[in-house]
Amino acid sequence: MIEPPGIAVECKVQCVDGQLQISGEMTIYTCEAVASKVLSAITPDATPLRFALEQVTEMDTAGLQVILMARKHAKDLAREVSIESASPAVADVLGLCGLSDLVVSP
Amino acid sequence: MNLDDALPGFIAESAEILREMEAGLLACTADSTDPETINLIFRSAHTLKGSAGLFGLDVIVDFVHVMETVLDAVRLNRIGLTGELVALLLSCKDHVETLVSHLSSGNDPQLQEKSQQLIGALQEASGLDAGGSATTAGSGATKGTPEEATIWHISVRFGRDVLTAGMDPLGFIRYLRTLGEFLSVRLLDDALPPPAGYEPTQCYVGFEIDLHSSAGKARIEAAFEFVREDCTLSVTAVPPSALPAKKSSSRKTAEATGSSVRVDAVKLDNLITRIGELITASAGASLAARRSGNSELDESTSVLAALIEQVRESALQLRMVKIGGTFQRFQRVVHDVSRELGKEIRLVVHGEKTELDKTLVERIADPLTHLVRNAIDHGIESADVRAAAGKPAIGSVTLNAFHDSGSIVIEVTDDGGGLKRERILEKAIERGLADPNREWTDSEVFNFIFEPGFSTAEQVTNLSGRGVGMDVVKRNITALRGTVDIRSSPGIGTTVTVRLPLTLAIINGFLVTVGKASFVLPLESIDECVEFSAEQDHDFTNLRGNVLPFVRLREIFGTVEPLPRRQSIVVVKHAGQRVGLVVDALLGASQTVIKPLGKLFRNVDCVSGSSILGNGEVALILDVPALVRRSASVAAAHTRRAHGGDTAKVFNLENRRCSQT
Repeated sequence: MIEPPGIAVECKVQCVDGQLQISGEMTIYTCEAVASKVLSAITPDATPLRFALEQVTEMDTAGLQVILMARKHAKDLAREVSIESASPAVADVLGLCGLSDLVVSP
Repeated sequence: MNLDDALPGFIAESAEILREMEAGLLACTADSTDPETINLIFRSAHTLKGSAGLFGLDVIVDFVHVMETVLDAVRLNRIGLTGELVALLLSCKDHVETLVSHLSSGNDPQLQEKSQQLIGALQEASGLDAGGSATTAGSGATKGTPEEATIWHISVRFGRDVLTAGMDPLGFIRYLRTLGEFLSVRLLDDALPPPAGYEPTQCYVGFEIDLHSSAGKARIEAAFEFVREDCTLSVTAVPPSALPAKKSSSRKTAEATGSSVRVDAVKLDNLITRIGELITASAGASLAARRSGNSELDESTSVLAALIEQVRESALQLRMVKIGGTFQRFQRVVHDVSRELGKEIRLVVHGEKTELDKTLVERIADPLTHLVRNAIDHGIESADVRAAAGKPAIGSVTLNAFHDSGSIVIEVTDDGGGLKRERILEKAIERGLADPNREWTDSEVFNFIFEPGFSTAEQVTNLSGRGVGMDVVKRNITALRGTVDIRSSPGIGTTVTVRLPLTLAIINGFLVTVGKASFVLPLESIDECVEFSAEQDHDFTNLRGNVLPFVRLREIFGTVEPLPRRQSIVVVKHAGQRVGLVVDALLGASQTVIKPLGKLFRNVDCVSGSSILGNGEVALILDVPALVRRSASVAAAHTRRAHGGDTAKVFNLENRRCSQT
């Protein structure tokens, strides 16, 4: 369950029609790249921003912070944010932090 | 601490946790799923994983982790808890049990294969990729149920450099969760800067947590040991009234397991043996004191004897366990067997709190399992037959336990078709067990099913019907000095009644003499003692207007000493029947340590054991059930011989009338 050393950790972010699809690992190793892509996707817009996280294999504090940061930033722009799908890894983290309410099925 | 020494503790704890998990899972099938029950199951899995992790038992950790993930998904309502999933989780629970019991044998490839198989099935059933969220890293020392748990408020803000130092705040929170139960968690993100100043590798979060845990302040603070320099932490105890009432169920478990001590059964047995010797010695001392004529000595020995009796009571109480635990196991048996047979069956349990000796509980489980299986397989009809008879489609098997005059009675009742009396009798006659020219009472006929190899089943199923079993059940129960009896009404159901002595070690005895020999009767079985009288030349007497059949112990034991001037009748009762025993003299109550009879005397009728009296003499313990049976059969034979078959019925009626008083 711990990535063997030497294998590059990857995380892809795709933004289509207000849906941010993230796959791979949302950890300290990937957070910088993920954060810049996610934050750049948050522009003033009427449609709510939806995270699709069912492909996320691992999430740590840094990964979670990206989501929290996105939420805060979007709120400043008066845009709604929700998580429409969560992998077990993400659900586990959200459950642990009392944030399960963020997950809203479409 | 040497972990190897603690391993037996883990094994015992895990057995308890697994039992809890099983009970939870079975409760889910019985009625609709209660979120609290699912939480309980989830917590059991979680606790188990934590404990196994502490001992580095990776095989168990990895396996339970998958179970936990699936349960978590159920808990969050992401997948439904179907009957199939419950069955799968039950077999997973069994597998964990096997893994725990095979700890010493290391990595058995067969077990590994089974693990993989079940993991695959779990993943398939849940549609989850269970590997994703490994939480093993954080789960360290875990204690099962909290003892005198308090609520702690934990407030923590992590320093900016925590993440770059290679630590993950979520890991600490996860570990914290293993110490107890989170009542509330609030993640604080107010430290997050505007996007421009945001450094993804810096840490901005903090937590406010209410934790219900038995761990002390130091232990909770120790959870943050690695980031102590790099965070602001405050842990404060919250007075219980300040928070809304906690969910009742976990408090209940805390009460149930709260203040108990695990004691080695061998130590307990030793204690009972010693107390047995103490009682014998004390009886000897009392006797000597009385003989010496020293009243002061006499008085102190009698005080001593009274105290010893109290000690005996408490020592025996130690061995007493509630039968509920054993009954709980049958939920599983019923679940599995009814699934296998495709019958819908409900298990109803009464009297779970009835207590009986630990050894008995262990040894009665197998015979009971057999009776329950039998009830399901033969007793309960298939759904369409039931519907045709106008019965509810769901069959029910009832287990009931209660105390009755010094014995414990366990009843297994089904609401099925009842025993086919004619068929059993036919079969018994065919096999030469029954005399076709004789009237047979229902109870006599039903007792034939306890004969070895006796079966009337037309269809032999996987479970029963091969005629093996009921005789073993009877033999096992008889070996415990118990009896078994059947009542059945066609179309309504069958009740099997098992009657066992409360304890196997020491009884309150009543001492009588016949000739020069002393005999002990269990005090609980005695109703009263009356002066001897008999209807002329008959073996029964008039007891306040009712017929009381009696047995002359002098005849049974071939006593040759001359008759005393007056004899007495001890009225004993067993299974609703009253019988008189004619004895020479009554000596009174005494504590009796039961010693088993030697192999040579195994076949001696009417005697169930022996005991050593204070004066060193041996007294035989009379087997009341056997004597009652003997009286019934002797009396029946007498009347039949005297008046022909018809009057047997009359006698039986009379007999029944006395048993009703």
